[in-house]
Amino acid sequence: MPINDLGYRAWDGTRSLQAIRPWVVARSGISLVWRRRWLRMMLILAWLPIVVPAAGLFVFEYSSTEPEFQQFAVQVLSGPLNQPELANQIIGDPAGARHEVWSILILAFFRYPQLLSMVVLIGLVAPMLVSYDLRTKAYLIYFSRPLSPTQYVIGKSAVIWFLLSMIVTVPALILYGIGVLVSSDFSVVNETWDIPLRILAASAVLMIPTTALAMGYSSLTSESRYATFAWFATWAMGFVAYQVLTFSAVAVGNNRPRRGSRGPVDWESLGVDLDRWRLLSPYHTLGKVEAWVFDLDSTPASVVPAFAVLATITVVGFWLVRRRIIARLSV
Amino acid sequence: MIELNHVTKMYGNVVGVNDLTITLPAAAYGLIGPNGAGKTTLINLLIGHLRPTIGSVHVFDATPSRDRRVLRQIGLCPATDVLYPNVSALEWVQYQVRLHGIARRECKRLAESALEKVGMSAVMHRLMGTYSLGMRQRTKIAQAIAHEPQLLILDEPYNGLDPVGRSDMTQMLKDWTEAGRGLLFASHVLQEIESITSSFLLIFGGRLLASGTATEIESLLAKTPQEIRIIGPDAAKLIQRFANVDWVDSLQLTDGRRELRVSLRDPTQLYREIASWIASDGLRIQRVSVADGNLAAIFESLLRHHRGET
Amino acid sequence: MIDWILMPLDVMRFEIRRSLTPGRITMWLLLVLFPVVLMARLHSLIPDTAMTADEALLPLGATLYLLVPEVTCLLGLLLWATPAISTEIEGQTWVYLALRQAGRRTVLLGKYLTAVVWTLSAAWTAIAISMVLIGATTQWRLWWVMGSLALLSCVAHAALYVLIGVIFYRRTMATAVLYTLIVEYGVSFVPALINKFTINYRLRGLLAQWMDWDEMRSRAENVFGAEPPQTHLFVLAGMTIAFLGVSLYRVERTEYPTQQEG
Repeated sequence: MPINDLGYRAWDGTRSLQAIRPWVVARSGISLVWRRRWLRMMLILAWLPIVVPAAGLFVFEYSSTEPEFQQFAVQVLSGPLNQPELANQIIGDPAGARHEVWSILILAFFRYPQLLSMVVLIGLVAPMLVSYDLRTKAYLIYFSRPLSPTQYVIGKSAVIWFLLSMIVTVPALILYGIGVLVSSDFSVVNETWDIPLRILAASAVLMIPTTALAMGYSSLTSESRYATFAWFATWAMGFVAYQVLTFSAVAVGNNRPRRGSRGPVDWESLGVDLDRWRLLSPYHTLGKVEAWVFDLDSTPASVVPAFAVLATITVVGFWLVRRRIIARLSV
Repeated sequence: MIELNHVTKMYGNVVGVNDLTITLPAAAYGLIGPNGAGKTTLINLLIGHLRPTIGSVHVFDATPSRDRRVLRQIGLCPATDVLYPNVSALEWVQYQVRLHGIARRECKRLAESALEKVGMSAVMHRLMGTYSLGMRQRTKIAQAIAHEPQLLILDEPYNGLDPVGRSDMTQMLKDWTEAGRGLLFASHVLQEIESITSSFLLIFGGRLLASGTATEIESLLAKTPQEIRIIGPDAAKLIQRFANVDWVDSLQLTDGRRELRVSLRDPTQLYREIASWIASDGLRIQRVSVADGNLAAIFESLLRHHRGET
Repeated sequence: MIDWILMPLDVMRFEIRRSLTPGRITMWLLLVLFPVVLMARLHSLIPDTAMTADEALLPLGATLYLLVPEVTCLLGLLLWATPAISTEIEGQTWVYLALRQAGRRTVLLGKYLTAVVWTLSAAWTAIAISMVLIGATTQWRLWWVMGSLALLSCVAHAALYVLIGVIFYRRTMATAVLYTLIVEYGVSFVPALINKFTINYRLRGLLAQWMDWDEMRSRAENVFGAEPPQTHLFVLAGMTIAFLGVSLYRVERTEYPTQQEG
């Protein structure tokens, strides 16, 4: 028997396709993670915020027949959501406002509760995905089989994509479904058929670069606490840096929004450029691209730099993971 | 030294150890059991890391989980690896000694002495991240003995040691026991323990199946059913012999008629007869052994004994 | 007796010794430079405005407070204080510490001190450099207020994070982040009794009191409070002692796993 005769080489039966092999890695990762009761609880809790935009859809759809609902919708749009023109459109042309109202509600669902859930969920799961394999040398078990580093990376990433789709994509699609079901008839699908596609696109924008970033951090260390810290610190520091740098002109200047004033704040007139420091903050960069996906981008700057940053994070993150694995396997 | 009184430890619905009762005076003992038998749980109970669900644990007349002063008398070398990559063995062992409350000025002396005993003097200033597995194992043992405890508990201490290291370790442990100090040596390899002590505790499925010297255990096993393998070109020719005796339960011929598996009700009869059969029939027999290796056979036999199948 | 008091200091010395790695020093530098860069940018905008040095003190001071006693301190403690127990469990070294007579308590106190020292050194360095950059080196009040708030923030938040780490040793950092966002940045702004039990409310109250920002305090009493400084200090001390006390109690009694879990 030759010294380097590995067990699987003698196998002459049918082998699965190359494309399916990442799924094997993903399936084992998902089943391991799914066993945790706390994770299942977290997924349930992450679904709770769907109630608010669902209620918003309900209120909007019934505003055409119920004057109280219409008044409430106008108040919310004029006030907290800063959309006075849309509020006027609801009064004059509710059907014409449908697409934008649905998009705003679904985008708000993406931007606020689900983004926080995403940051926490990835911070709980992702840092250990690669760092544990490196620490325990479990990667040797993977690569003693006919599995390439790329397939391993895709498989591990798919674990996070699955979890994120459970808290972002699926509830957003269900929200769209709720919108259809609470509307007067199925013709609304003709007006809003693109929204599910935008949901999928926004999900991809959210999931792919964030997964690459988390996996990259996880591959840099065998102690998961550093990867977890790097993940949370990136979001916190980026957010704070954006807020301080963007609104510093207001902080030190004499131009401030008048207290008690209603309607949207004209930040430009106050010397605030909402796009200038955006790329420092993952939260705001994602927000720019997601708003563009839903055709709700209200800031003047191009979306291309934000796209470029997310693409760079994706490429660098996955490259880093792959390189770290290959380095370990090299003699 | 150690007193366990109906000790049971449950992890939720999983039994760690089940109704252990034993009193051990100061001496050397081997704790034998396969993986998952409950050795680590028992050790964790003895060092006060776990509290028993039922029963009581006393070490040197104190309850370790309540009276932590008794931990000063215990040294533990666990099975898990240690790696603080950015500190040297001396710094780490010194730190471990200090955590016992020993004065600062004494800690360095004790640490150096312990590292010398395990043969780590030359490299004790190097960072532990540069150590091999064997060097880390020796460092672990050094931290276990540095504070001069009265009871040393070792969990798989030979892991990672080369033959020279094993020989040195064996000598060190013999010296330890000869000095009158207690030793509890946990392993799943019988031969490792036999070189140090002849007193064993056999644990399986969380239960203490047997305790005593090797001779006592062997005589116990001699009376319990076992499965024996007879290997050789003429193994099949023994079938006639076995078929004519009443102390054989079953026969199985495998491996192209070269291996005969015999399930025996009374192994002592076999040991009396086999040599004369082979000689008188002129048979070519290469090996006679227990079917699953020493340890598994021992436990299988003990379990049969406990189930009343003897 | 003195020896038992010195033991946590020995633990601290050991922990600091083993934490002097390029990676950790880089993180320390990042925590220092982050607020410094932002303060420098903020300060560069002031000449374009009509603000005097005294008028600029409010926005600069408020921003420096946000960046150092809050962001820098919290991030530093997230890295150092929360994983006090979980690192030992993950590295399978907890059993060595638990086997020692005073191992559990001493190590916990030692790691608490290490977290405070590491984070406070970064915070004070950031404050000093920021003060030089913004030309406020003669603003003694701002110096000692920021320095004191950084100290109080480190001491109190470290106790809180150590407690979180002792109780939630499996998902410690994420739990600490959630707690911070929900309680320290959410509940602390709620205009009710509940916000008085948060650390950030107390720190903001001290900031407004010590800097004599009466107008800001009167406009946003739920944010800055109206109690005297002694009350804030007393509550912070009480919370710190309570968190540490509960942590020490729990760490003595919890049966942490000694084998690595997947």
